[in-house]
Order: sequence, then C-alpha cells, then structure tokens
Amino acid sequence: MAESDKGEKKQVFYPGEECWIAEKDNLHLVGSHCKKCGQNYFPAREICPKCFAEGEMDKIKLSSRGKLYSYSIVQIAPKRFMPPYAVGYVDFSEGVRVLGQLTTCDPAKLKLDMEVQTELGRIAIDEQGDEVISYKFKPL
Amino acid sequence: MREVAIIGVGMIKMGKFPDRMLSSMGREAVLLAMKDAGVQRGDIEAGYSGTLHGGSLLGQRIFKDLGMTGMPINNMENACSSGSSALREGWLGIASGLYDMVIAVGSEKLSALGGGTLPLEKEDLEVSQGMVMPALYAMRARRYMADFNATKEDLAKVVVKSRKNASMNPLAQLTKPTTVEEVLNSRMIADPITLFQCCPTGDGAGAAVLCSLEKARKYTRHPILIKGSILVSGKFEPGFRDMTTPEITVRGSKLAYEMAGLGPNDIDVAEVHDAFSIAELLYYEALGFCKHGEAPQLLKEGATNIDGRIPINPSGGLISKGHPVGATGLAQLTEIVWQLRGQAGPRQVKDAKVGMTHCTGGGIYGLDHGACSIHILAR
Repeated sequence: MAESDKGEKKQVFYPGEECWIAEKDNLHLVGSHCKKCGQNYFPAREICPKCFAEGEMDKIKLSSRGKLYSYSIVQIAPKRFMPPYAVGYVDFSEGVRVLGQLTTCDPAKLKLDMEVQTELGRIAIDEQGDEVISYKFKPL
Repeated sequence: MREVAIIGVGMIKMGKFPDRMLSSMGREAVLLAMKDAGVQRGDIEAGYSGTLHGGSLLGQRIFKDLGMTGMPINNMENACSSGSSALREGWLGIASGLYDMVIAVGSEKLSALGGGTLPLEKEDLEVSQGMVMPALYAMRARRYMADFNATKEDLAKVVVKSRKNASMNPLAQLTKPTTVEEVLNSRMIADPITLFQCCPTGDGAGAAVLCSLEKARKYTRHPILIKGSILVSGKFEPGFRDMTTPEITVRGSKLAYEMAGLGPNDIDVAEVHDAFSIAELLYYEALGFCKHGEAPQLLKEGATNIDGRIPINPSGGLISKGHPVGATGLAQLTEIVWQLRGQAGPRQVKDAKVGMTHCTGGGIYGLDHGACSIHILAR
C-alpha cells in the first residue's frame, strides 16, 4: 500500500509484506522450514541457526490460528506505541512461537491458552508519523 | 588458571543524580574500591568498564582524570550484565596470568534517559512489536501464576522483603518499608506487574580491585576469593520455551557451581537479579535454592530473609537498592564482599562464608536473556 494522494497517513509494513500471505479470509505468517534438520522459523531466514545449513530453507506457511502462551497489558511504552495495548506469545502448531500485539486489551477477553487468529493491524506510529502495520492476534 | 581474589570494593549511593556526570560517578566508585584495597594507581595494570547506555569510551572517561591511562581499558556492554561481564573479564585477566592486579567498574545514569521503560534495541523483532522489559517479566509472571497456583500477593511479598532489607542499607535508592496492599495498589505497569514491583530508574556506580591470591596477601589478611566466574549467553530458541524456567540462569549456575566445586546448599547469601518481583521467585528455583514451583513457599517461610536459611538480596536487590543497569554487577559484588567480611551492618547475614552474585538480562528475541554472569565468592 503506497502513500495515498490525499496526503493521508502513509502505511509501512513491519517486518515486511513478505512475512505474511492472505488466503481466503485467513492471514498466514510465512516463515522458513529447514530441509536438513526440520526446524521451522518465523520470520524467514537463510541460514539455519539449529544445524547451520545454508541454502536449505523452504518457505513455510504457518497456521492462521495459534495458542496464546502468555500475555500482558502494557501501560508504559516508548512513544511510537500506543498504550494501553496487549502483547502476547502465540504458539503455532508448526513449532514456532511469535510475539505480537493482541487486537484487544480488554482483560475480560483474554485468557491463557486461548485460540487466537492472525490478522493485520496498526502496531505503532513511527517517527515520520507513518502507521506501522504488522501481524496482530485476535482472541477467538 | 590462577586463584583470583578481591581486595577492594566500593559503590556510591544509588538514586537520581541528573546534575552529575556519569564518569564522575564511576570515578568515585573506582576511588572507593582502590582506597578499600589500599592500592596505588600504579599497581593497576588494566581497567574494565561496564555500562549499557553510558556511551563511547566510558572507561577512558572515568580513568583519565585519575591519570590512569596508557593501560588497556576494556569497555563492556552486555545489557544488564555489563558490569558483571566487566568483572568476569577482569577475573580472566588475572586468572590467565596476564595481569596481577586490575580494576573493574560499572556505571550507569538512567536519569539521563528521561524515565519510562529501559530503551531496547529497535532492530530487535520483538522490541519493534511493542515488547518492553516489564511486559516480558509480566508474561513470565502470568504463566508462573497459572502453572503453580501462585498469587499476586506472592509477587508483592518479594517487594515487601526487598524494601525491608533496603531500609537497612544507606546506599539503597528506595528505603521506605512497604506492605502487600501498597505494592498491589501502586500503578499498573504491565499486568500483573505494578510500579512497586519494578526496579526504579536510577543512577549509580560500583567497582572492585582484583588481584592474584599471591599478591592479595600483601594487602590484606582477609581476601575474598572468586571460586567461580561464569559468563554465558542465552540459547537461541525459535520455538516453545517454558518461561517459568530461565534457561540461561539454570545453565549458568550449573557451570558456576561446578567450577567452584560447590552446590546451592553451600551458599550462605546471594544477590540475585530481581529486576521485577517475579524474577526473584524464578531465580530461587533456577539457582537451586528450592524446587520448581516452590519459590512462593520458600519466601513465605522466611527462608530468604536475612535471618533465614538462604538469605537473598540483603542489600534490597535491584527492586529497592536500585538497578543502574551497568553498575548492578559490581554493586552486587560489593554487597557480597561486605557480607563475607562481616561489614554489612544491621543487614549482616550471620557468619556468611560463601556468597553468590547473579546478574542477567537483556531483552532480545529468541533468547531467554542476552547474557548472564554468575560469581561465587568465599572468604
């Protein structure tokens, strides 16, 4: 998504648009699978930190849903973020854990081990005033 | 490797000193340690300076105004373990036989950063998603509470003990005794972690003079021996990890015990890295002072009080004594040396012979923590 001609806020993608793929209504994170040792990673990488293999990485699409391992509602944070917001570690069945913001910071809607769905949303406003868009996790 | 002794320690009072230069704080700690050791500047063969946000060439900035230049000066950055890493490198300098006497100093001026959460590296994947240190510990706390039926009161009790100890430490930053209610009613930072459960923003410095045991005997009849000195980095893990088991500390302490030929039961007093309330509980377990899941019980029993079976953080720890990041490792060491010498005043642990310092930290994606440095000391 580029800057709109009306001079609205520009959107930037973090870590980058290659890190996810939309399929039907579901967003999937895209990582790496090491053909040599079988380890999966997010985000994608070139060298396998586990077995040190180079050029052995296949792209892998993570499930669009994962399990919330733990979370916290953050009240104090650097300026670019907008507290209060919730962060959590999400475990995917591919054996990968990803930290991201949750789509709600209502404590009544959050529970350990609950299922969450990957989607895109604003996580910060950067120094240039641009909206930073990344993956977020929505409680189901 | 040669036996290494500590013959002098010193630290300045921790607090907020916005008008004071960081290098002057480090220099004061250096002078305190050198006077405590009774050494002259010409005796020191190398300097090791640790800081996280203290900027370039802090060691040179500290030592130059004492005319202690020309010698190798090593500037160390390892996040919260910067000071303890400087200590560890100093140990290596002596143990290897390269030097006979060195000085390690740790200093930090967090007040210069304007408060709030500790600035983390923006290049980091999780930091860019909104991770802050209180949230990391909060997530550990939430998981621990769920897995082991611990309560927020259990967390608060860490702070109550910490403040009580700090009230007997004139060099501590926060010295007013508190209650479980007051801790839980303080401002929420990252739930379940409230303000009182976080180490404060502060400034400080600590230093130590290290030398070979042979040389130490010329200066003192009571050198403190470094029986174990360990530095490890966290292991990269892209998958699931049990956040209630700090692997870097478990691994590091095992190595430190092995090196010292000692075990958790031999430790009479320890200063551990209680940057947040939950951390102290996790480290009771990781360092082997109790079984996994039993830390709240250990605290409740009073076992970790100054008069308990295994006194932890008699200084008040990071939560109350303060945590000027780079200074912490050497402030912990100073406390343990005082404890082993019987110089800790009203907070003295009775007849402490073996002590431990445990310093770990650094928020970085994929690692439990960036670095962990553990020292086992004996009189």
